[in-house]
Amino acid sequence: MKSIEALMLINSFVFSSIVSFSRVDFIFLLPIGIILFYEKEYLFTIFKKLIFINLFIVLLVIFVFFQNQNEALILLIRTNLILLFNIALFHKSKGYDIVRGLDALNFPAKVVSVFYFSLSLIIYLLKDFKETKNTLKSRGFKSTTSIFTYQTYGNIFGMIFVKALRKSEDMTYSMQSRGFEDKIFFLSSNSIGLIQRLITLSIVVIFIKVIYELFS
Amino acid sequence: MHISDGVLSLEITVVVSVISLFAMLKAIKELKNEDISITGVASAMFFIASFIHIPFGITQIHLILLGVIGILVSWGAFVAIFAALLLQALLLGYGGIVSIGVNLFIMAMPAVIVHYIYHTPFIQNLNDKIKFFVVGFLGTFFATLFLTAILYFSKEEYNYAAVSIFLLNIITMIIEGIVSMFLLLFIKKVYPKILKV
Repeated sequence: MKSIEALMLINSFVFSSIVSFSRVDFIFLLPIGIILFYEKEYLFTIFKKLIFINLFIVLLVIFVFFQNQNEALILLIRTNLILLFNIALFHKSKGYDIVRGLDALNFPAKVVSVFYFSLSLIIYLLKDFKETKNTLKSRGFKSTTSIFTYQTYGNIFGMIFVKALRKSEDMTYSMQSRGFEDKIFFLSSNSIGLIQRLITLSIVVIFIKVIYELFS
Repeated sequence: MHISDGVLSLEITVVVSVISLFAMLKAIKELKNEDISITGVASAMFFIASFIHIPFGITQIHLILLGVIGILVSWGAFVAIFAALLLQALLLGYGGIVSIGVNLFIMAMPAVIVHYIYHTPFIQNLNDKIKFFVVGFLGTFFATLFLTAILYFSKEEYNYAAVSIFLLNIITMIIEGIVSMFLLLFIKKVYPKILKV
């Protein structure tokens, strides 16, 4: 394993799988503790994101609470452990490292290319959407529950879509002129640092413990 | 509409993920090189839609555009939505990396179903406005139906939540239908060749 991005994806998948399907254990805090200690400058950002995402989970937890209070508590802890680990692991990511990771994991070239196109367009379209929103505001548009509002949003989506199509065609032509067929080549990745090795080691320890408990 | 990691049972996750995997393999096999860019566009649109909040009364909803994606990229929806779901899971925390197979089935399968329904003579003979409304409505309808069924059969504790989610999303289906109708009418006017009909 030479790619740090691929290792991050594997760590995320293995940790999330273990926490999703095994009994909640204090040892799950070990890799989370390691990342949070390493990312201590960004604790506020990480927890702010966690609280925001919890707004969606709490709704399900409330429903479960009426049927089984214990299960509701476990659900809340389990989902938050996974979220906290992944948010802390990827909070600095701009997405291109994920694409490089998938490429290093030998995902099909077409899938990696779709990821690359998608990510490039997301960045372009988000900027464009912000500008459109500002234009609407400056023209006094107020979104309400009305057909006019839904028509405006439909047209905005349509406009964004057409812009994305044109941008993607430009990207395709520019890439085809450089010999693109279905595979995008990436620059080499960063090497795996001490912190990633420690996180991997802690996940391996958890994995062994879970397997041992399963068969003992 | 996204199911987080840690919510579903192992059995449901494995079974639905295997179905998604086979569908994904079919999608990759059928994806032509010249369709990579439009699949990337569909993926980006799905991602962006989660940022755009549409008002409804005192609350807001966000669109998923599954019907629109379905009629544009057919089985390619599996690749497009897989890319968007993975980016959403890791960059935004929506859904999760383990439940991605389940979320992919919930979101991409309706897109494929809508694609086939859209190309039936009955739908093609309808007025454009009704046809495009049906596209948006059915995309969200099937996604909600699959989400409800998966939650319902995953754990007994999710029964109330599953039924409530379906009922709450009826409004979303109607709004998705209306916005999709205007979106597709716009595309038909400005960029008709993409609709291929």
